[in-house]
Amino acid sequence: MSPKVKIAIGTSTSILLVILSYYLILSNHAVISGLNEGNRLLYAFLSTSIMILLGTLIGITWDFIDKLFSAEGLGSKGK
Amino acid sequence: MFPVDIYLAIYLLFIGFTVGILSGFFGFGGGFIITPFLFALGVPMNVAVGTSIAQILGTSIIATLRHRKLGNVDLKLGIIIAAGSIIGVEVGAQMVEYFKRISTEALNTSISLTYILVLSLISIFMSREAWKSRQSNNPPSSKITNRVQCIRVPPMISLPRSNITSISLWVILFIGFITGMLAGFMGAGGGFIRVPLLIYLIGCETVVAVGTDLLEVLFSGLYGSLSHSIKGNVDILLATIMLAGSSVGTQIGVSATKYVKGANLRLIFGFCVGLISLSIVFKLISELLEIYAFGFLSQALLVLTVVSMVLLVTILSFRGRKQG
Repeated sequence: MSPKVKIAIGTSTSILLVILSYYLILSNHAVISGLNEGNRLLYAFLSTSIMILLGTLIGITWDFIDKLFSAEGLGSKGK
Repeated sequence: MFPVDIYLAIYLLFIGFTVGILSGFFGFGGGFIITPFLFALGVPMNVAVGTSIAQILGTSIIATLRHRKLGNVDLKLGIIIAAGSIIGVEVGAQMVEYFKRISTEALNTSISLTYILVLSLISIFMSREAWKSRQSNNPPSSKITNRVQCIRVPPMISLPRSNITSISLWVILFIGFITGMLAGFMGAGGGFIRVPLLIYLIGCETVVAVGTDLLEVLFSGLYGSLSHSIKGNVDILLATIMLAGSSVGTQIGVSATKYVKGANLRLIFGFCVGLISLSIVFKLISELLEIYAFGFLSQALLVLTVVSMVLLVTILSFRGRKQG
């Protein structure tokens, strides 16, 4: 498998993970916010984890996108 | 939970985008933009502050990862500064309590005056130095840096990423402490204080100062987010929507640092901090003399500063990408 294909798979997987995470968070935000009234400690842990997870996933996705465009650039130059 | 419709979601995306650009370019957390905007929407002040910090945590992770990719993050320096900062923030918070016991008015006035003094000093010094460096093509003034690096209190450490062969650990901890104390007292993240101190006292390259500062913003954001969400001050829906906007803005802001010379970045930084300081002067006049036109002027100037900086950074980023 060429590095370009590996980067493309990485990019699409990470984009998919970001979309999936956003879907899960937005569709369950009422449940998550409900914890704010019931269990503050769990809510604190969950909300902070969500921000860390999303931040890291988006950061990694941008990294992959950047690599993909660099690889595309190199590929076209090679040709 | 604050009700969110499609228009509000678009507005939040835009705010996040704006903060992302400034955060990636200057190393600011961006709380000074998000908190008043959320408050203006009708979000209670405590929730506006908590949500803003949670959003800053996500944005700083994205920006730090991107700056790390460009080699702009000094991990060792960031961790030591963060350690000093934590102690400083607690001292700053105690100072707030002290002034609060005297009177709330005394507290508000002293915070505003500290803001004006610190921001004006940074703005004048940085703009002057950057303007001179820009004309002579010299690196930032090394006189102060040399003096700081001459302090030989063991243990001495080296910071290869920042091109520093030997510096006392206590000096870095002390700088972290001072920025933390000012940030804790002024109720801000402290990026606008830390970046100049990293450049002029420690001797970091401008982009490394921005990247390393963002690492510190990440640590303080993590602590602040946990602390505020335990108190029930974080609206996770608002924070995640703004994060989506800032994820795009951050890339533009960080990319722009690649195409801007260090002296130009410092000049823009100094100019931006100067305008924010002027906006606080107007706000203080409005509160002390009860001239409400100055209050409006203060808000208009803040919005104008943010919009002009966002436009400038976006243009720099796209022009640089086109050329390079």
